[in-house]
Amino acid sequence: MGGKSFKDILWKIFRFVFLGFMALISVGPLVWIVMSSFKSNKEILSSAFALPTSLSFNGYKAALDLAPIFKFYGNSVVISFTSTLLNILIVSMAAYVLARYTFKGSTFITLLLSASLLVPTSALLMPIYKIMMGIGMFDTRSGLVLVYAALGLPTSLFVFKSYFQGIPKELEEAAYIDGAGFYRTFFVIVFPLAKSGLATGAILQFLTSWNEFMFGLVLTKSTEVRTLPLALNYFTSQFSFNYTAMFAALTMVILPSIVIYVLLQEQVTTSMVAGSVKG
Amino acid sequence: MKTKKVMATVLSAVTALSMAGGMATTVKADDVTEITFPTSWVGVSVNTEWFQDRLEAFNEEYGDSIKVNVEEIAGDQNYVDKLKVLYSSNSLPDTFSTGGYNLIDSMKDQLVDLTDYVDDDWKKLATDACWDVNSRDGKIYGIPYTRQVIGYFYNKDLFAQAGIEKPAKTWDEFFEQCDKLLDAGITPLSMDTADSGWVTSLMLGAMIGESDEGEQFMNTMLPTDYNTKEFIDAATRIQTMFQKYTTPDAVGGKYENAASNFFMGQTAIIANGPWMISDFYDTSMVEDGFADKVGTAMYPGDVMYNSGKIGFNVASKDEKTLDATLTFVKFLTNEESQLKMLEITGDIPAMEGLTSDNVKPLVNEVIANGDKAAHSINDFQSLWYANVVDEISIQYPLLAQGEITPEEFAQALTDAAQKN
Repeated sequence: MGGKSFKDILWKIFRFVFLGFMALISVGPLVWIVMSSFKSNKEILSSAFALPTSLSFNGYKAALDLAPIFKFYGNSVVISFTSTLLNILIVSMAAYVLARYTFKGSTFITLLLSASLLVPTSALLMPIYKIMMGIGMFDTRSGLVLVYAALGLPTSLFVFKSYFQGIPKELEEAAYIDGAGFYRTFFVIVFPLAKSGLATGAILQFLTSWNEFMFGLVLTKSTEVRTLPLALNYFTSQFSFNYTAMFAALTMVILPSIVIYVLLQEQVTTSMVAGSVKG
Repeated sequence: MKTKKVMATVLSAVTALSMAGGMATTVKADDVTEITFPTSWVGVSVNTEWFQDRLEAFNEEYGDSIKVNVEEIAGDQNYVDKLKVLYSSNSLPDTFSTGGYNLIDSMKDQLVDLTDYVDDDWKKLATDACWDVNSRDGKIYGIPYTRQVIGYFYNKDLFAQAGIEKPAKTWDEFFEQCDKLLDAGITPLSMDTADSGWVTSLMLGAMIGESDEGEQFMNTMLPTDYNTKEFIDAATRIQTMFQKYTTPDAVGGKYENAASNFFMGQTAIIANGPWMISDFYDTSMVEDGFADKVGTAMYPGDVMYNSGKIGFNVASKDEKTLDATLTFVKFLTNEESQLKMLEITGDIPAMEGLTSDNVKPLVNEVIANGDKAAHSINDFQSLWYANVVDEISIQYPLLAQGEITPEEFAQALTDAAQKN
């Protein structure tokens, strides 16, 4: 009896140590960034891991002075949300059809859309730049929305298709018997059932759009439409840097991603678990 | 029906947004010529204040007839990357300045030959060396505004602690001083490998430029063979520096790592240009009075980087825009602008003899060192092929870790150069 409880205690300690370690390596860098945003450059350079000597918001002020963060922030929010909505709406419809119906060329279409995941971003840069110039969408938010929505297409398709395949067909058949049409069945029956899968795709798509840098740089030229990742480069150049402002800006940039993830994490976990037992 | 409506609304909204984007091109009065100028002189860039000042002054004087559409591209490498994309799609901006990075050779088919536009008065605004760096086959492709005068900075307190009285005159003496610093518990050198290893490469070039042959190599435009005795000897010494005399963060480190170590008194020597001097006075970076501890020096063998620097390149596609662009470039490179550059950033003017009392004393020391140099060399970023400059960052860590020999390092750069 005593041996068993000793084992239990040991196991408990191991679990706490392991979980504590995992939490530390996950949260540590974020805490370090936030902490550094309150230190002066000198403090960061001399003792990178020490606590700030005072709670100074100078870094945040400098960050806002040096770069048009709020403007970029607003653009990032609009572009990321819109591209996520567009991606979910369009790709979920495609994924549903590809998951439910077998028709001539359906495998080819699935492969074709999935294969775009393998095309490196740098190879897409030039053609997309030329297309955007050609159709007059260069330097517009809507141009970035379209590009970002398309960039996330293969990932979302993969996630949504697997999820739709796991939803029992009988539910849809029942809807059809009750007189629902194709669109109604999809939007009223299937869409809500696939909430977890859609949330997973949405998070991945949102993070892709939120963090994307290269297209944001190449497809825009005015600060009116640029996004947050570009702002981070305002704080380091070849021969100068302002770490405090950079960490303050980083804090402002990463916070929304964390909040979104925390708010939706339950959906993601559910989706992952649900997906793991599907054939 | 409802879902159809929702879909139609969403698609209409996207289409409307797209059309709004398409219509975003500005319509201006005929008498105002618009030109485009992307710049990395934003945020913490050392030139930001200067550029804002000059742009404001230009707009005051020419705002009625010329509108400069400034595109902010923060980060020097991002700036070059975007220019490469624009070049590939034949849509380079009217003018651009890479701050020394040589894009003339890879882009000159789309650059305007400025030879006929640069008259004698304009030529007087820069030394011959500056025009040479901006010319190819006798044609001018760039308008210079600064010179490259670079030695190294050292921490006088740390030198004194190690019993060193003055900077070394030969490389053998330099390495002896490094040993003395090590014995005193001081890391001698700030070095880096990322972003073409600017600080390290300055040392490399200075070692190559010690001999007459090496000096000639360091003034050769676009060298394609790095398998020379001078280059391999210098690479051998750089390998020793990496392995013995620098900080652990040098491998993989950027300029800011190298600079931070010097600012914090963790290293005694850093190679860099006079634009760094203002940081020695910035108390958010360094302790109060740090600038008084810093000395300037020529490289052993009285070598100094003392050369021209790539300036503004022009790629306007019609005469009207070209005229406006040249007016803008002429304004940014005139005597007043160069003087402001010296006073605000500490960067040395392209024009000979242009001085100001309103500069930090260390800046004048660097200029004086440049004038005294026995060997004047140019920097690698201005002269070497862009892909060779990129290759350096890949090869330095291998050299530092002893995974390649100095001979293999030279061969790797040769291979890269010969791909052009």
